[in-house]
Amino acid sequence: MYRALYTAATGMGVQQMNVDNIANNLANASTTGFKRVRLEFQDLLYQTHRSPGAAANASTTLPVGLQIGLGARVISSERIFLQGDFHQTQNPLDLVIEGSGFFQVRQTNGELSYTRAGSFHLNAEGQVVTATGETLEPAITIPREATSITVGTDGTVSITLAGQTNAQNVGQVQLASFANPAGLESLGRNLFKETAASGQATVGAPDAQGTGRVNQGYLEGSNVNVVEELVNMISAQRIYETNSKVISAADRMLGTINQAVS
Amino acid sequence: MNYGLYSAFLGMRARQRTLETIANNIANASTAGFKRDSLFHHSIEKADAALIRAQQAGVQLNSQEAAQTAQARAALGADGGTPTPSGSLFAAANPPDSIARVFGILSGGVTDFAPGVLRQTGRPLDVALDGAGFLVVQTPRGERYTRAGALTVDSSGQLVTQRGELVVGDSGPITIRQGKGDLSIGADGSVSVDGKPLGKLKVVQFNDARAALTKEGDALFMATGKEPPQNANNTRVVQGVLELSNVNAVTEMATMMHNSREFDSLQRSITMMMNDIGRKIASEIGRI
Repeated sequence: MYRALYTAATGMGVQQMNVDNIANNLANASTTGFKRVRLEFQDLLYQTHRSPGAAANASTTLPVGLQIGLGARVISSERIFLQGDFHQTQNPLDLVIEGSGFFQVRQTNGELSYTRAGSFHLNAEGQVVTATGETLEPAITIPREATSITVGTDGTVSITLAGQTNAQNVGQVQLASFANPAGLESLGRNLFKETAASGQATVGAPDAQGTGRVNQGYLEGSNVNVVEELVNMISAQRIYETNSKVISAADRMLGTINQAVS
Repeated sequence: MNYGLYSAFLGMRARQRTLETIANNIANASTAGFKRDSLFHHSIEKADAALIRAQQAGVQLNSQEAAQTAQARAALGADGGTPTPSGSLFAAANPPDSIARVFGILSGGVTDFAPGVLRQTGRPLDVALDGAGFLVVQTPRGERYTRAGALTVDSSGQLVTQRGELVVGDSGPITIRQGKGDLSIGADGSVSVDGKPLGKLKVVQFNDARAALTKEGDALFMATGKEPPQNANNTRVVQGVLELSNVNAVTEMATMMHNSREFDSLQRSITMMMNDIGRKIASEIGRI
């Protein structure tokens, strides 16, 4: 009886976390380069009262057993690295990766991190940085006199200086790829960190190692599907409600026992 | 009279277990690949009760008792071993004769292996099994079976479950290097990237999964050893789709309401019997 109460409570806990996650996905529906997260659920342990296949008597065995499960839990929150929508911006430092690679950026604490959000800017020294100031790795500096910036699909950055006709190469954007991108740790601010689960980054030029191509003048929107999240939310809410009904039923049955005793 | 009380008590206990099972089904209503459990109840006859007592005492039935059991079973006919669905309140309400007096009910459980709802996810590593098959995963305890198809890869690119157990291929683990082109999983379970085959998912099936498998939790099933796994030839692997749980909230709620009402009725029958005993004691003691 008490098991039913706790089992239903695990079900409610799971759905609560599900709604928390849906809320985060929806809140980031217009975050550049955001990848939605999906929770995976699993059933908890089973209490085996009778094992299937045990002897019922000398000549027959039980065709089925009696196992009672103890609820559900969240086993993982997996980031789904499917491509988001492309939005055209015309901004020369807005880059989008068409493929599975990541931009490498150097955080202010010196650590390397990875991002899909390609909205870059220039800082006071002319370095290419993210909106929160992390520098692109390898560092690319755009001289103050540059009148136009061009980024090729292979990541080559070239500029035209004022009064000159020939473009000049100032560096190349490198992309990182992982064996298991879902294993990356999310740092917030659109940044990811390499972990033992993601495997080591393989760094290479865009368009060469299957890391994807770079396109200039576009941004990658989030891959959150609002309708899907809403459907998930409705389903989570209903299942939460059903679990609470189980708690009421268990409580009522306990009440019945108390009546019998009195 | 004592039998009646005992039967009603067993009936209430069976309904508690039913509620626990329903609670677990509903708690797992969004667990991918989860299969719902259902309990059935069947009556304990005198012969079975003797057998249970003997088993509990750790002794074998002697030949006379064994003969009695056989006789009792024969007297019961086909109905003797038939499980009574939990819906009927008083299992075997009309015992054919005094030997087959009803002592109460015993619960058994079955896992319902009906397919769950399929949901399109578009994620290349989500696979659903269309058919009775199971994916095979390698755990430290041996091979386990699962229908939860939200697969992923580990740091070395090997195909694993969400908990990191290796997914077994026809020839060992399957290694995928992501970001190297389009991953496709064929209907027969063959995994390829850009048309280059990398391996094939091992999919097995059992003739009677309900007897051959037992739940281990973590969306895994363990073989009971009743039947060896066979290659599943009629199961189709579908990529980009997940099989959700096969729990139907409406059915579970209806069963739960029914179950609670039965529980109440049994409690009332206990109260009535207790009142009856009370009156009898009062009148007989009064006469002395």
